[in-house]
Amino acid sequence: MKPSRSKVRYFAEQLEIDKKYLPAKRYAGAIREQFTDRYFVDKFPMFLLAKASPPVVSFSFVDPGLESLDSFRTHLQACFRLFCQLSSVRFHYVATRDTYQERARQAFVGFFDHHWNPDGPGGLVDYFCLQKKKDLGKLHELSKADLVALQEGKAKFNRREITNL
Amino acid sequence: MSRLDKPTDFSALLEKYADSPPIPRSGWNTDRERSNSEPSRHDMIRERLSNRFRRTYHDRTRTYDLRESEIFTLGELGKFRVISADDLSRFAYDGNKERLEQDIQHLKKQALVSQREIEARNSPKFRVFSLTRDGKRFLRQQNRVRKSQALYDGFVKPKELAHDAKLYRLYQKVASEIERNGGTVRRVVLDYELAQRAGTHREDFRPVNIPRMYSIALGSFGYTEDEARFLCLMATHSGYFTCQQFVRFIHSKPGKRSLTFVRKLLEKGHASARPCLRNGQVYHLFSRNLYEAIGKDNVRFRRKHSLEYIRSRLAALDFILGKLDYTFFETEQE
Repeated sequence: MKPSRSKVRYFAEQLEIDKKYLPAKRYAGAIREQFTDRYFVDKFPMFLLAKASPPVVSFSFVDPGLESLDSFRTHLQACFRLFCQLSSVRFHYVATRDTYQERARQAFVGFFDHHWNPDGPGGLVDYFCLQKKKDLGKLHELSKADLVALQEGKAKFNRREITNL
Repeated sequence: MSRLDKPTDFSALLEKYADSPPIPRSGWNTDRERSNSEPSRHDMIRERLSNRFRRTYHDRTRTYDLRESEIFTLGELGKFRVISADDLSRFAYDGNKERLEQDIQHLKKQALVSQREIEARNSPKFRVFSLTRDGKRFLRQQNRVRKSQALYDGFVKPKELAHDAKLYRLYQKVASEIERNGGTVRRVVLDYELAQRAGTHREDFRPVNIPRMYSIALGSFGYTEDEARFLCLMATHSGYFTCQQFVRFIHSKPGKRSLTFVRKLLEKGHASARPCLRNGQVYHLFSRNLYEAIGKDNVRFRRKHSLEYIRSRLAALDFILGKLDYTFFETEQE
């Protein structure tokens, strides 16, 4: 039997995804200004569908039963940068009751619609316009909000399949 | 005989054979090109039914009084898991319903067979029978079926009972065709067996990765192989568990094994119990020694947690137990 794989090792070493895209939490150290980054601190089950080509990672979220989807949205937000680096993703919403199942599904789909709508704010069109300005050396024309949007766009769309469009 | 075939093909097959009119009694042997010395199926049934005397069989602490037709019925139920009363009467009792009832009552009295009433779509309720665990043990201990033949006990998947019950009818039709062509049915392979085999051969479906060295290390604390494997899985992904989850992992029923396991954990001081809901208990594995033995002495599962956290860990373990065939990733230690 092969030993179980580690989440960070799989993404960072096997898929060569920069650690900055992984969901992380920063903990302050005992020594001032020293900190430690911990990845996947929520410890939600995650497995690999090795048969798919390329292999698909199956993520999950376990509802703690707080009668709200806030924690689910926070989790999606934390994982979104990583999702953007993967060509396909599977996601399981695990809950003891199915009360929020449909709402969770809508939240998940809505979240991606919002972030992947090319014409929406912070969408692909905006990103290409801002990137073009940057490439032409017109950075001074960009506002602070534009720079933030460009940075976020980079995290979302900085993949060869998209940049080669 | 398998649901692994294309569903449409299989449905067509069932439609074609299972719902065909009953095969005439004399029809079993009409076209068969078999030697005259070999008794026909019909003759075999008659011979079996003519023997009305019961013999006593001893099985560990129990004694059973059974006649040949009852043992034959047990074997058929074991091979197919579920058979309807009508089919059993038609194929194993030559339409002798009275005799079937006698045998079934006697088998039920001895707790070798269980009965259930089911309702299929667009058809009235009908009775189905299944072997009990004792019945299966009896067949195995008395060597009444080939060793290579898989036996099944108990009703599973209630939604598929009606479908499963049809298989026996389909089998009779196919078996008679095989015999007519000079062949013999050596054993019956149901989809349960095929799925199990397929599951072990597909690359995706590797059993959950629990390194052998870890189960050996946990075994040195006095745990059995199954207990050690469960502890390893639980310590890696949850830290909390319930008896039901252990029972689910070992594919058993609540009883002595699960009680012994939790008693062992509590007596050795490796886990603590926390009351949950009415009579439920949630167990928390906190022993540093156990976590150390599997190289996870720095996970936070050992600490005390809030109820929400415990609930989500239990749900996560449930999720993992439902997908044991996949390779789950581990989280880095803290």
